[in-house]
Amino acid sequence: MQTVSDSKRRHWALRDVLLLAFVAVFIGFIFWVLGPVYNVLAAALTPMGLAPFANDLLLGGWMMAAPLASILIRQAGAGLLGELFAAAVEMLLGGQWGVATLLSGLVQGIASEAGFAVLAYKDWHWRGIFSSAVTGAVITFIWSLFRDGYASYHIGLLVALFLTRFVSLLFFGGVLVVAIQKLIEKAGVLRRD
Amino acid sequence: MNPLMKFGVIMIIALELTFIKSVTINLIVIAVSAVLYLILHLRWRQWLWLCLLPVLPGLGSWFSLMYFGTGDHVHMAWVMLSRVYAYLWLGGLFTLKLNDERDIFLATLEQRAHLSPTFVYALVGVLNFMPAVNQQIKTIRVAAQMRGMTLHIWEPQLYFKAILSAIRWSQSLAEGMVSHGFTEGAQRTHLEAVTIKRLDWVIAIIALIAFQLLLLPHWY
Repeated sequence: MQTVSDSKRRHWALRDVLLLAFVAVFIGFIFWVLGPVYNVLAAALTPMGLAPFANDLLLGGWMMAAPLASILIRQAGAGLLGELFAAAVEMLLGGQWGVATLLSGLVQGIASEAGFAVLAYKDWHWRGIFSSAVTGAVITFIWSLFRDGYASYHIGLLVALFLTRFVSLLFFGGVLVVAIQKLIEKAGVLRRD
Repeated sequence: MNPLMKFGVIMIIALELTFIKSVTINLIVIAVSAVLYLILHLRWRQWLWLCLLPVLPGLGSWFSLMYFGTGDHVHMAWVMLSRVYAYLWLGGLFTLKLNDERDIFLATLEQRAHLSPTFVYALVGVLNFMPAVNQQIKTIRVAAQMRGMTLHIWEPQLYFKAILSAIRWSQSLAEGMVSHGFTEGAQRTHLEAVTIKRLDWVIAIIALIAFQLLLLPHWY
């Protein structure tokens, strides 16, 4: 059983920081193991010019560290830090985007965090989780307009890409996180003081 | 150069690259990085890594923009292809040296950037666990397979088990750190004080100013 600090404390406790870092590293590695799957998918889609779909399809997975950190630690900033840790892991493992990984991690962290923030950090259950999935999809898409050159695509492709990303976030960042939270609560492995 | 200073300069330039649509600027960044790599004496394996890794995301964007772009999309396709290379080559200046410079990077974060020691030492601890994390994920999947279950990424069980390990390990590591004398919020003394040389500041400022001057002619 792990005791997590009460969210009303403003100070970051060592055990919370460690928990969030470990969660980020685990998520980073789970998706690292899948790297080859992503590469094969992207390579298959590349000649058709559809490679960005591979990215948007899996984006929700890359971003899972943020909502998981938020629901575990229940503190403002947890999602942002979790995603930054995960991005740092990806960069250290040799991600294809180099330093841009960290910038994206920052944007993704803020995007996911925003969902909990609009609910004033009061809801850490399905409402907060789905709200974070929605802000996550919207804000990262704006970032992609610049970083990935999405702004130069046809409107039809843009809509398709956004829907793909939205579904990915709703699944990985929403449905899956809610299911994980249920399992954790059922197991009773977290206590808050 | 101090790794944190280097990191700062690289991040600022990378952020600017995100908003600059210029093949020329990207190529200049790649060329300058290449010259620096020549001075750094990379192994051929690292050269190969630098050349091959960006191929897939670069070509992915290139084909999409060629087929489905609007407006000045042919130009943008080349921008994206060169941008992916610029990101990785620029970032490599920091990441490829990080194994040697990790301790000093983290020490600078703590002593000069005044990041809370809790974060710095948590990072140190967790980074050392990375190989074990990799192993643990394999163990979780193999253990499930022995019971005839394959844990795919869309299954909450996989993450649940990973989080259980994270909980257990974070608790053990926290106890270990405290029992070795780590006190949260305490003033620490340092065996090796990190100083940032004045030359580092000068190099960083020159690099940033030079990059801004490059942008002035508006040739992109």
